[in-house]
Amino acid sequence: MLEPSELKERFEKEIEALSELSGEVTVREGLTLLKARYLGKKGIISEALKSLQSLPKEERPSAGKRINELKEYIEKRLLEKERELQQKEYQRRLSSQEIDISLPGRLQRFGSEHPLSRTLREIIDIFVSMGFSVEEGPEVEFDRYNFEALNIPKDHPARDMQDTFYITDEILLRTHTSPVQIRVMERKRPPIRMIAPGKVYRCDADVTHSPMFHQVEGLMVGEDISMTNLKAVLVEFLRRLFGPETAVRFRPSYFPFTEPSAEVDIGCLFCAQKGCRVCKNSGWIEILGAGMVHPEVFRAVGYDTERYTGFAFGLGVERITMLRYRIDDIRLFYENNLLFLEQF
Amino acid sequence: MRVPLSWIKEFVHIDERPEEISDRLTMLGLEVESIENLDGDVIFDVSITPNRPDCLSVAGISREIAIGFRREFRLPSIKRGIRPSLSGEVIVRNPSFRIIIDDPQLSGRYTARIIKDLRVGESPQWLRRRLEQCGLRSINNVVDITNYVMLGYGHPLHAFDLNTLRGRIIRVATAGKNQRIKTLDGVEREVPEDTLLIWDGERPVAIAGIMGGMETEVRPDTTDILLEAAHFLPSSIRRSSKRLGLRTEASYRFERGTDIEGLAYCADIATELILEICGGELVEVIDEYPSRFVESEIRLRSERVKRIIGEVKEDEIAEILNLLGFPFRKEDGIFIVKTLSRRPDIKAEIDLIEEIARIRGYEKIPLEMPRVAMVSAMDMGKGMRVLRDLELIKSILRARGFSEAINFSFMDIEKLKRLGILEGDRRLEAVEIRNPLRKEEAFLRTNLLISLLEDLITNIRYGIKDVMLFEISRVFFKRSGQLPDERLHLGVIYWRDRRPVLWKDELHPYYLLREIMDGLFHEFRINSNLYKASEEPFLHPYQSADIYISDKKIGYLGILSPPTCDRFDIRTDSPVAVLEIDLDTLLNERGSLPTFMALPRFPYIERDLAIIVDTSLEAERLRRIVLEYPSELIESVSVFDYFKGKNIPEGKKSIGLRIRYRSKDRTLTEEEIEDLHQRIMELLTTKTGGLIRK
Repeated sequence: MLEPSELKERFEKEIEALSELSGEVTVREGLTLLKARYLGKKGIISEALKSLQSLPKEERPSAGKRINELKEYIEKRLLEKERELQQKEYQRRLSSQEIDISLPGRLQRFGSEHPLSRTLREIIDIFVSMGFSVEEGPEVEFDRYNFEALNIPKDHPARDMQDTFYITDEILLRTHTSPVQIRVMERKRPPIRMIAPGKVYRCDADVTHSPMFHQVEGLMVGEDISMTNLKAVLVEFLRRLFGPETAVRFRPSYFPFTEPSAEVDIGCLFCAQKGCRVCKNSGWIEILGAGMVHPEVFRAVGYDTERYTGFAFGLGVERITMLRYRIDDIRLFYENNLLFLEQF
Repeated sequence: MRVPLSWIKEFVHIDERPEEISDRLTMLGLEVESIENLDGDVIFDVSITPNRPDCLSVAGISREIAIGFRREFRLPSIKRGIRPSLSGEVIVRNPSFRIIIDDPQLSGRYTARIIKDLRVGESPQWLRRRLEQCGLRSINNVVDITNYVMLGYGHPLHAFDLNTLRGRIIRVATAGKNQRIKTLDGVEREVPEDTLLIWDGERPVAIAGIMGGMETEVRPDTTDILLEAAHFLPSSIRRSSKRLGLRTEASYRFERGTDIEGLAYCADIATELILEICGGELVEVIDEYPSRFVESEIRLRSERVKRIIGEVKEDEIAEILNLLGFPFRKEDGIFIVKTLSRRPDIKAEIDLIEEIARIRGYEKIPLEMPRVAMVSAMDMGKGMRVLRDLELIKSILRARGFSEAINFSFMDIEKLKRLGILEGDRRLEAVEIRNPLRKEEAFLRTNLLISLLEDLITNIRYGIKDVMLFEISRVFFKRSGQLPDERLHLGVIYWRDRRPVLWKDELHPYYLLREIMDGLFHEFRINSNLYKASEEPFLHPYQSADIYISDKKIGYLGILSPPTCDRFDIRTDSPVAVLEIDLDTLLNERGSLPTFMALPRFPYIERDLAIIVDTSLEAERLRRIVLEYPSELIESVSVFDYFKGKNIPEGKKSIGLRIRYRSKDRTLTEEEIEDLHQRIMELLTTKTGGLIRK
């Protein structure tokens, strides 16, 4: 009978030889064979244990121990080999299921939000977070709401500021979102804090003017609303939209439905206020119009002009969007060319 | 308005750089659009808001500059013997001309200066240059002087050739019926009835405040003139100017409001210049002034100032009123301020408050966040709810690859006819615009389809091979005597050029849009929806459906018919799929919040069946028949199979239904279900005339 150390060496050679076999089936067969030869009932280890009988009594324990160690070793090695084999089979099965992860998904086009909608959404979110409600009004309006209640009677020169599409003498396409102010004030008492986004129309068309465009109107009315509030709210809004460092200035202007009226400018985004083509070398860009609600407007809706004061503002969504994305032709917004839309 | 710096310097001492002057003006509300260097002078182009007629002159703008820089403002004084006219006194007791004002409302004052023995000729160089700097061309010395005074001092003037005026009368009266006049520009005009005209003893000689007549104009051989300086009601001039389609430098100023007191000064300045440049002699000054300017008083309260623009000290208010030239006194702590004829825009307390804010500078107003109560959530506005819904719908569409389009609200009504839409269809009840920019944009849209088809064509032209667009916008239906019915619509268009793609997608585009529609119904918990074969004339009759909620049609979805594509010049072999629905109706029909049902504790049994029915029978109807069967054990029904062709007779189709049975309180047995399933199959065959496939 061989010494356990010699047996171990032989086993090692045989198990390593398995690796040289090709095909998993033969390896698995070889492994089964090896297991039977060494660990089977009549296997080498059994035989070795039996042969202990022939040894002198005092040698038996130590020889038995060595054989048992060898047995454990063989069992461990066989198990390792078995696991290795399983792992290989598993890998092979998965690799046969390989897909090309470098290919794109099925959707060939991705839907884009229209840049005007995106700007509008951001503007609305800012005002809603400041507690403003969102109101709506018809796009086809009465002259009374679009002009007269806003202190713009017929034959007022301010009507020249807005070229109007007429349906009849009394019905027109709203030229601004301001009529929504009137509709809301007719419906409810102060305090009012609202914005009204929507489409407006003017008969004018070129690179910077479109016969249809979008505005957001704002109105805040209460017993204690002053121009200090107007300034604070609009500065807050503009800094949230254009960044916390944005310079803002208010300068006098004229709208028939507000007094005092203001034009609000932001520091030019393109030249750090040094002067460029966009800001016509002034360092400032006109961004919105605002003012304190004119007492005549309150009178038109039956509010007590001594009790209530308020401010209103209106801004052009196209203009802000053109500035933010540096779009130079307003007509691109309505052409709906996917080469344009998918950039946003 | 173009203003030369050299001219400004005649009124106010100013050495500041042009940019500084420009900034100051802009911050005073007189926005400088541009600064131009021209022949050694600087020209400011100032944009004047309609409320400031007093700034439509170099003097007016100079006055603002003087206020802005806290400098003195100087108007030249009148020399020679013409000064008495300043006070409105006439210098001749028995004038040779009679001035008759028919309606003092329409013309409150008319003055005439008669100058004789002058020589009409070319203007001196300095005068020509000033006019050119301001954008006017030189005509002759007399006319140029009237224009010069208008630009410099703000009041339009007109010179008649005295010897062409008949009857020694000047009358200010409306036109009356069928009146014609040939104006200076050589155009014979028919004037509307209520147009204000200047007449001599026989005929109209000028359109008041707008343009003089040709027959009485100053010519090279004119020696005697009548110089008119008058006041006209702004709204009357504006109406006439609009109706005649005739806008002039004069009408522009008259319709904004001229200074009824200051007009005599302007006439004097002009007279002085005429005598100096053209020679001649002032022989008469006639001043008919029936509607004298009466100053009124405005009560200005400093606590009101505070409420509008924040606190301003009383001293500062007084200082600003002085700067502006408003006379005032104080009574019980209230400023009593007198109005000025040159500032027609200052009529009420709020106007003065604006002036105070303007002269102080808006930058002096501090920033202060309003202190406000929370708004009731019930009162967040209808707009907010709609917006949230639209955001949701838009993101569903974007996730499926559709981009958002925005089109003009206009349409070419001819295109509706091209779609084959017939008389009686509501889409023909479109709102017409009286003054459209183009005739193709003369109507408001009654649908989104036409715009989306145009978008498709644009994109195909740009070589785009997958066009997937949607739009959510209002459409408009005419209602007589009231505002149109505005409805929010959703329109979707899908087109993919036939060519190899990475992943084969066998889904017919009808189902692609149908998925979207089904998704929306699910999202808004609407289950009374139904799809029926479409009756739209522009859709493929066998690949399109009209969409209903209960029995109300809310829109359609389907494939454009080949003739429609031809008529719109869409050249493609691939189907164009479109969808359009009334979103207002969809959102109004939204289902209520669901009530939770306990999760099932017992297993279900599923049974499939296939039934052969007419191709026209809606699959949904089969589902409904099963669902309406009175048994609590039917949990759900779905269509799992559809088959046509082999082994199925012509005109028939096979629909596979999968029915899931479940009981709330026990485990069902196969036998129990077998009986129920049989009865359902019998019901299906009797109700549809169909045949169960074995």
